[in-house]
Amino acid sequence: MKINLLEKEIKNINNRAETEIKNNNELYINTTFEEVKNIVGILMNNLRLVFVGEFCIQEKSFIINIILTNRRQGYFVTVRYNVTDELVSLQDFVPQSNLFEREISDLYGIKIVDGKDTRNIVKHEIWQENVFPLRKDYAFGSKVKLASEVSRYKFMRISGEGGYQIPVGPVHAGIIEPGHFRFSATGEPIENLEIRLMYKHKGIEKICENINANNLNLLFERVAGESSVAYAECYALLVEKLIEWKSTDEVKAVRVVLLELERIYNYLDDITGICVDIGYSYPPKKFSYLSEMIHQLCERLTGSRFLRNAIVPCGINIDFNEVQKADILYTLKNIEKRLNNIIESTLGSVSFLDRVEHTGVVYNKTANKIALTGVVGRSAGIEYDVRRNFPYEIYKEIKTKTNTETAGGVFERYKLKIAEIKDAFIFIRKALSLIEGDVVKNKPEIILQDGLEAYATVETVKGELVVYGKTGENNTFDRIYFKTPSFTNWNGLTYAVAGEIVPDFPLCNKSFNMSYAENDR
Amino acid sequence: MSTYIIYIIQPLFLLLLAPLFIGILNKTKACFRGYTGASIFQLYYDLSKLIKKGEVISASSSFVTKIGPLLTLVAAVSCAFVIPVFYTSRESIFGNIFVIFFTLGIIKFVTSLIGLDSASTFGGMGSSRELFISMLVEPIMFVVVTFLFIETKSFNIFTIASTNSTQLSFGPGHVLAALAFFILVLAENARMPLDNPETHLELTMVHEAMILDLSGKRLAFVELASAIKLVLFLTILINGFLPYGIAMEFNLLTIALALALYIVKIMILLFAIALLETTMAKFRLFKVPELLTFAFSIGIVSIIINHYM
Repeated sequence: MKINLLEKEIKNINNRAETEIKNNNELYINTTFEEVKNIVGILMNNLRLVFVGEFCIQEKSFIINIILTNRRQGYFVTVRYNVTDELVSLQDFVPQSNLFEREISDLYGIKIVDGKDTRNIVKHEIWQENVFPLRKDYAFGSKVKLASEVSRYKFMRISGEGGYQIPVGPVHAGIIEPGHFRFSATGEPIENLEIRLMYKHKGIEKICENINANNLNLLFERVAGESSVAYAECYALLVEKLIEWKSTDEVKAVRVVLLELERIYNYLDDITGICVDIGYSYPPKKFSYLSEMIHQLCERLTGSRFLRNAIVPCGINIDFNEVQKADILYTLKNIEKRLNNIIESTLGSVSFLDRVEHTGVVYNKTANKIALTGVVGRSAGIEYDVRRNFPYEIYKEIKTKTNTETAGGVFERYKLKIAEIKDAFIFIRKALSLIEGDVVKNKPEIILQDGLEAYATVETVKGELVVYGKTGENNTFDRIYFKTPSFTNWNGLTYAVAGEIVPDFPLCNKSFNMSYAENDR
Repeated sequence: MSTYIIYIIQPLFLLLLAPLFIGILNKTKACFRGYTGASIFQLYYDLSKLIKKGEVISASSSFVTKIGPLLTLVAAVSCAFVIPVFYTSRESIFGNIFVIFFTLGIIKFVTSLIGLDSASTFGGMGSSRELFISMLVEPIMFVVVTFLFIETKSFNIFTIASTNSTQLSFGPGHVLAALAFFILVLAENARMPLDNPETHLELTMVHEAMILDLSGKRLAFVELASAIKLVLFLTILINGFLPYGIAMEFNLLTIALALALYIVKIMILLFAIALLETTMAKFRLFKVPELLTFAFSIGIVSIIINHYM
């Protein structure tokens, strides 16, 4: 259904709701506390919209925003209602909404009405009880005191003979970020897994409100280091949407090159991890070697191994000419054949296939229920890729099909990651062929009007990233909200490992390879 | 008199070089994977570092953690004194194969207790898995010992070595039994594909999970004990099944030749282990019984073949 038809439909269903279309693909519906559940229910069940997230804005009062998308037509629908101190829980029919509601509840102090799960998510036991960092009256720069006031987090328990719990983390054996995994197991089979994150809540959304829009791209890149380019791209898209800017095709193509380079090294690291975790030690060494080659290429291109400070709103912050073009083509050619050989050898290894096949399966039904995105979702048959459904830059021309698998196991995710790497090679070559002449470094000063709002979405390596931005005074943003892919996809892992044995958990985890930083923000 | 000296020298040789063999194994693996890798003397450095370091002992642990690591080392060292390395004699008052295997069993038993003793989930998980695997390994050991007895009419490893070293040809049963014993060596020493000695992932560990809570010199004892244990098992494999060239009399030339042959043989075995550990993935835990059952079956088959051929 087209966005303007939907607007009419909403009017028919409920004429008290005020609607407004902004930026061509964003429909805003203002409703009330009493009616919101009904409207969201109709939008999701009858009109087939997908729940993406939920966040809060503080103006005169608190406004709760529920983000829904139509993936086929590529538009956003926001259902908003005013609240004072309580919000309506959607947990009856949107299983993953508990995450968003609990986050709002922790950071704004708004209680959840009749929700099944109202535990703290951001606030750990060590926090102060009555502190709500995202409220406007909470001064920017003040630190949350370590007061140990928050009540103890209740993990799900299993009872019966032979049942026990395995606590893992938040400090792990590898050099990784913090997260706590609570396994309930009977012998080796895992009955239930509960993941507790947010050990490193950085308050990035608060910082965003206090930084000049011209420098904000740097902060965006630091939400998750491994997806720096995707975040910078998302910021660029957001700003360009707000000021209605059209980039040149050359700039678009360079951005796609950078985005795909990031995809290559990330997925190379992912498949490295999958092999390492089952002790298959020859291929991962080679994969890491190739990944390092990409990193070095990135450094030669932009001066940063993670391609930072390259994509800026309305321009590109690097010079790009024949030298860089030749360098990329040479490096890719150098890598491609070796990579294919090693991939072939892994796919021919019986012991490897035996471990990855039929392991960590997320069924299509479950994946749809909890709205998995990215490789994780596509491995379970969800045909959704932001690059296809919300095309940005030049993806509309170059990306012609979405890679999907059906079984939803570790092996499917492994295959998809390889498919994405191979696609990235093709996309980079196509994008490079579109660049004629030199692209000159250009970082224009951006000036934002007050009171505009927009959504931007990008396919990061972990899945769908949605950013909401509302401009404020003095060229800053009044509110930036990140719906990061890891925030919801982490949940998929709990379904993937249920019924698997404990020693297979690291393998399932690596095949997801979700980001802690991105989740904690 | 001179024979007594050799009975002292050969275990000392084995004990001193055990960490070196582990270093060579790791170096070989690094070469296969295409990087320089640590020095072959790395384990010596590690052990001397650990011995100098202070240690932390869990408040919930008992005397088992205090004396356990030393016990494992004692068991490993004393076992080294009752097996032939490069010299054997036809008759020996020690070297009963059951004594050897059960002394080695002490290491496993005590390590499992250490795992349980620290009261951490990982330790308990590791012990449970270790005992699950060793329960299936034990029958293989008995089958292999039975095979060796039928072949050489002796339960003494010295006699077995000397008898087999003079044998000119072996039947297929001998090869199968050796293969079964090789799988047993992998299982007993937490090598791939049954356990991954290099992993940092606690949840997949078997042997390493049990000793996660050890540190300092106690960790050094256990590490050294497991290094010695691997070399002991490889030595038993060599001298039980392929003792060609082992010295039977005491003169410098035969000893030197035997020593050289021993080193070559152990290098070949280490090479085989390195090859296994780089080219295949670890088995899923519940697939381990299949491999061990396979080893048990070929053990049985080897006895039957030996009987009819």
